[in-house]
Amino acid sequence: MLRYALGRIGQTVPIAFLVTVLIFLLIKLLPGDPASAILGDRATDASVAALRHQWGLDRPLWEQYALYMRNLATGNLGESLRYQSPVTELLNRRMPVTFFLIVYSLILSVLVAVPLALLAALTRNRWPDQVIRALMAVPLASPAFWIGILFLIAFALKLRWFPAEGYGEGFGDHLRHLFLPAFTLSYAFAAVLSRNLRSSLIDVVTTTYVDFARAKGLRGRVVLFRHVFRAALLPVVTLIGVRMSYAIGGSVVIETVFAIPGLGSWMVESIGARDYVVVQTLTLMFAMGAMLINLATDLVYPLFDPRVRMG
Amino acid sequence: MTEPVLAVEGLRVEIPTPRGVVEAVRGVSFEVLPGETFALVGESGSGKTMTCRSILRLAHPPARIVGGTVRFEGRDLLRLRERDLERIRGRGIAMVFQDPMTALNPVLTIERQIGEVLTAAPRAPAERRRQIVTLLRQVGIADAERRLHAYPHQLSGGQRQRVMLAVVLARRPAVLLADEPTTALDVTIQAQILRLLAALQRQLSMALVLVTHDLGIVRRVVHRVAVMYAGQIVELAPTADLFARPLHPYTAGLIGSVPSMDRRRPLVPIAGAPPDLIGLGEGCAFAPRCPLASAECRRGEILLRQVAPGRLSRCLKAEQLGGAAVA
Amino acid sequence: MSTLAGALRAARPIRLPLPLGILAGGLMLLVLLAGTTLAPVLVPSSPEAQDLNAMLQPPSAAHPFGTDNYGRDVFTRVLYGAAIDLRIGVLAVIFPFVFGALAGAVAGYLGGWTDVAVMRTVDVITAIPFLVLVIAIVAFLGPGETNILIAIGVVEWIVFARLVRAEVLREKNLEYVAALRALGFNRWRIILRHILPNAIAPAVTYLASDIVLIILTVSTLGFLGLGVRPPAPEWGLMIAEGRTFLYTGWWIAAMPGFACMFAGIAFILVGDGLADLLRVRGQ
Repeated sequence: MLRYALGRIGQTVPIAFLVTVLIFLLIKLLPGDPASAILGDRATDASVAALRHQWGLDRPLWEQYALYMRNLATGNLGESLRYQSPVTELLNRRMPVTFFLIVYSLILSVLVAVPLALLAALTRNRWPDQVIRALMAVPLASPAFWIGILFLIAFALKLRWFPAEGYGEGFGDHLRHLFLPAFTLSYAFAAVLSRNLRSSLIDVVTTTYVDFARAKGLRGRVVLFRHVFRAALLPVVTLIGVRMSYAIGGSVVIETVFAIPGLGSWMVESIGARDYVVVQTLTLMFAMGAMLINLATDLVYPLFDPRVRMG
Repeated sequence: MTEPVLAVEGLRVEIPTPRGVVEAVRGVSFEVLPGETFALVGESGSGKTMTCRSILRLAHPPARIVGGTVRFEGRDLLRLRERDLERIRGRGIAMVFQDPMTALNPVLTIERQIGEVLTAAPRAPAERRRQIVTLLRQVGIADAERRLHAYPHQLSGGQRQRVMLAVVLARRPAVLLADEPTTALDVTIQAQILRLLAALQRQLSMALVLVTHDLGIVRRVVHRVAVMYAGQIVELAPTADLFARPLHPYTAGLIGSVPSMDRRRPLVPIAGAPPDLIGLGEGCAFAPRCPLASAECRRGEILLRQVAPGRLSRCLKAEQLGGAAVA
Repeated sequence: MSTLAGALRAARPIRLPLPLGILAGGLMLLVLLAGTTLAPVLVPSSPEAQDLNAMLQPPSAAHPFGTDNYGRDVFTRVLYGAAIDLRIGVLAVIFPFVFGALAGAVAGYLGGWTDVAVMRTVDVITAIPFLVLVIAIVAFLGPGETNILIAIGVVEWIVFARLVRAEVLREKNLEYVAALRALGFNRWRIILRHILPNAIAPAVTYLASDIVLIILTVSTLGFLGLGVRPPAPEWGLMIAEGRTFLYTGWWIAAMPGFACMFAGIAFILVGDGLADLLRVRGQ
């Protein structure tokens, strides 16, 4: 197990480094001189020169990268031009919001997907299955932000069950404010989850070991939960790791739709405000977050599957 | 005459498919006497596994049982509520499966998988553990204590099969249905498992219904055999009689095509292939491949009838075959 | 992904020349295509035509999808928007498909350092959430159709690369490849003329789903103001513009989304149906 964990971490570290290279290079896409582009309206000859020096733009590329990495390592994530304050400060304020949203939507996804997948698998090809599969197909074809807007119109504006935007104060308030956005995010995620869990359940239900469990005379429910479920969950755990990346991307748009003060909406605002340093840093944050989640699920998986645990 | 412990009567199983309805089991009837070893023999697709699974209603959907009765302990298993049937599974009639690689749950320990059937056992974990260890030793697993915490993938195929038999032993059923219990095993292990099965039978006075395509095994350990073809039993007889004097062309063909140590006997495969089980017409299903088939064989319904004491055949020419002996 | 297609397939009792999924999806696509090409004929007015006397009208006979805050007919705009989103959707998938397939084939066949290089690149791009990366690239390049195509091209090829590489890894161990090599065929010829055609099937099957993903991405970019520029009637853009009027004119934001969903379902049905067909034929 330890060897497996070290192996996975060992694989992730070089990728993480390469990701920083990629993101570092992104800023080079800016047409023209990056320093003046970054400073935009506030560009003066002096400030441009200062920035060029600070980033070593007159030095070779690899030195610039080294400088960039050193800044990262020391926690210097740059400064937001728009807010005129260090990115780290703003990050600390906005990160919990996005974190809350994503965890919330993950929990909702599981709460929705698991019973639906179970029902669909048990009534395979009969009408409950068809209805569930059709329902779960909708988010695959539609833009998530549009579904969010529909929910907004229906539940926040017309029915007034939930606030239309914002984050609120206090834990309970957060739950109310974030319900619609989290639910929108979770609809798409649950669609994928339930489809995979359903397949997995059907595969497991027809295995010989489930037959044997039933032949032992175990009660139906015991067979279902102890045998079928445990085995069917395995591929889903890996799936969550893989799919979270899409969920994180989705959160960027959803935050914009519901005006939630998280990292995603900040990224979009920064693009509009040409606050490029922030855009670059946030891209890095999102990437690191996605990689961490992936790594975490990979490390958690052996807890469920003894075959991997023991090699 | 002793009362049969298990009596299957007119079992019919269908499988709806996009191409049509497959008649997998077409009116199968047989009885199993207490303590005897009974075999269901046939090629794949003959319906033997489906019959076996249907006894405990373990066939996978969309297969469905559409007719017949299965009598055990005075009740028809096909009419029981699922909850009542669950009480009979494992305890009255047990079943073990073909492929030990896939027959045990990969994420649960051996202790757990045996322990979950010890419902009458004391609650204390230490006591249960001792019982499980005893069971494992009885089925011949060495180093039983260590195996308790093992997972199936850490055991060999033969050991996994023994674990399944330990589960059976724990419940002491009156009948054991064994679906090709040795097919997936090495030849040397096969012999060991067969000996173990025989020992269990003696110990528990248990009847064994063996589903197999291996005539060699049948010859060695089975009392009575039912040969299946295209979803029906085409011949039923005591083993020795069957091999000495088969009363159905298919049986004769099967025996003729079994490799034997006698080099003088040529290997004669049966020409043709088993029929499509969708929309089977009237007449004998084997007729297209049968050297003795005549016009009357292709008409009407051919019934399984008693040709001699204790011998049933579904062949109209059974009496003619009675004269010919298999060398 | 056989959800709608599967539900439809399980329900039909009659025999059709093609599975119901493909027929339904194909029909929907035809409707879309007809709508976009015949747009000038079907709706006489231009998508930019404003009618300040008819602002924020709910759906009616005269305006099936209502009008927006400038009095523009939403139905006309949605129809013209279809042309934009569908065009970009199909265009944007070409480079990823071609480049991805080639890269995957080369990596799979040559193995060694080439494979490591390609797969590491794939891993790095995968590590960054898809939408975040696309948004970042467009952010730095600037909005507009060309930059969207570039951004999607640069990111999405990895999916096809992985699919084709997996197939090539399987194919290259088959006997005919050994025979070709024994005959002295040049390795590029082997890859391009012999292996690739046999390895391309899963990638082709995935094309339709990818087009859906791209259309959704394009409208997402439009919604965020990073895509096609106004006053173009791109669906995402229209939804963004409709946000201010959710209470007074919900149809402005809602209708383009329905159109998008319609297109999405069409492609999914065709894609799933194709996948089933290829799977059955292959058996």
